Amino acid sequence: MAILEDLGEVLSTDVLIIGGGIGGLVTAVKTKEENPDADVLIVEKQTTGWAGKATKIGGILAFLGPNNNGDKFLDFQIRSSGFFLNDQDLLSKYIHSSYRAIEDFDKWGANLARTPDGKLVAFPNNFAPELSMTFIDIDLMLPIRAKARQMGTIFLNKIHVVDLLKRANKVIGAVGFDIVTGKFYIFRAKATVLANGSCGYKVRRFWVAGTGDGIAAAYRAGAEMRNAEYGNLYGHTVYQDTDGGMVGHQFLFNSKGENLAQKYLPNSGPTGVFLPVPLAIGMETEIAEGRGPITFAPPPTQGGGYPKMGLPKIIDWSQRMAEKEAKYGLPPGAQREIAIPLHGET
Amino acid sequence: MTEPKNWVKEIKIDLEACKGCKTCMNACFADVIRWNEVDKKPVVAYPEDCVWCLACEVGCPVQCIEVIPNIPAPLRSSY
Repeated sequence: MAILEDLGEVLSTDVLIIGGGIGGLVTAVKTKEENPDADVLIVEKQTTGWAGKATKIGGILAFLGPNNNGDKFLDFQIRSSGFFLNDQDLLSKYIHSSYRAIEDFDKWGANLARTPDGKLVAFPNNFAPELSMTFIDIDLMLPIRAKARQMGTIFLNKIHVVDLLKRANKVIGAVGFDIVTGKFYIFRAKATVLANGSCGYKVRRFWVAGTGDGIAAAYRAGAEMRNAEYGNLYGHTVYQDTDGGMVGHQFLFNSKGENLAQKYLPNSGPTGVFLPVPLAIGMETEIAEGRGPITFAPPPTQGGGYPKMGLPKIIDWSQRMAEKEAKYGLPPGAQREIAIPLHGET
Repeated sequence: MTEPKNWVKEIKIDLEACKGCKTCMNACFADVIRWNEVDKKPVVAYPEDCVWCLACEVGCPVQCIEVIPNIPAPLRSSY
């Protein structure tokens, strides 16, 4: 009979966190806050503090601000976005914790947008009623990583966890490979947290880190899963620059020049960030009935770039991005044809 | 639709100017850049996985890395 140690390197911990992006880092900090003596291990397939989607969010945070009405927000989400399929209690808990997340980021040293007199910025978010927005610089995970490390979290990078370990009906850890050396690892843990994101490799440019391993591993382990199908989203993505047009489904046109949001969502108020379902179905109809391709034509932006609110990394990044698109993209005025990717969220 | 090709044409690194700080490799969320332990320099190992997120460019302290996108790029579409 094989000894476990013959199969690979065996590492034990109290709390195993699979994924070193924002979810994994916050889990580590919160775990250590509750129980400073717990052994906490983050295992990340790339590099903790740079991994996942948080550095690719464009610096935008949406939250229920102190002046927003939570009940009205919930009403919109449940009726117009979720079609009454939401878990309403869970959604309520989630949205009411969102401002605390902003306060936590600030406390841990992430760089939030501030007015000249030092106040945190919040302005209305036009994707949904009663929702606020602010900006955070895209190096937000580095101070949180420093905090997690200072609290005693251990990090292992370049190790790709591929499956969960079970004994009877309980998850007791996970297994994975060092992606550089190929070495096999066996992690044993009292508690295992999957913080490794969604499924989106080469669907949208900034979401490629989500390779779906956690979702697949949970499924294979027999986890009860819900809302995955309602979390999946369609977006519209511009072929020419692969992510322009992530928002702005109000500016989609068929080959006859008809505005599709007006055609399929007449007199609609805010409909969330991504493609509303009736519009996605309408676009499929347009293609099937021969009125494709569908193009994205937003009005020209005034000024461009991010408001200068003391966020140097996002300003640098957005300037570079604009330069690349100008130098290597289509000439101004060219038609920007879109594709409709399906992104698998959890 | 054009033939499938990479989303990025080329990733250029000036190895003379490179200080070997590993920021480009660490910043990459797609395992594009690996490390040459002998020369202590980056290696563009998987350019086909690059999505020109520009994290490596923004992070490089001596600005010796440049990512050149391929536009238009092949996209997966549901229809």
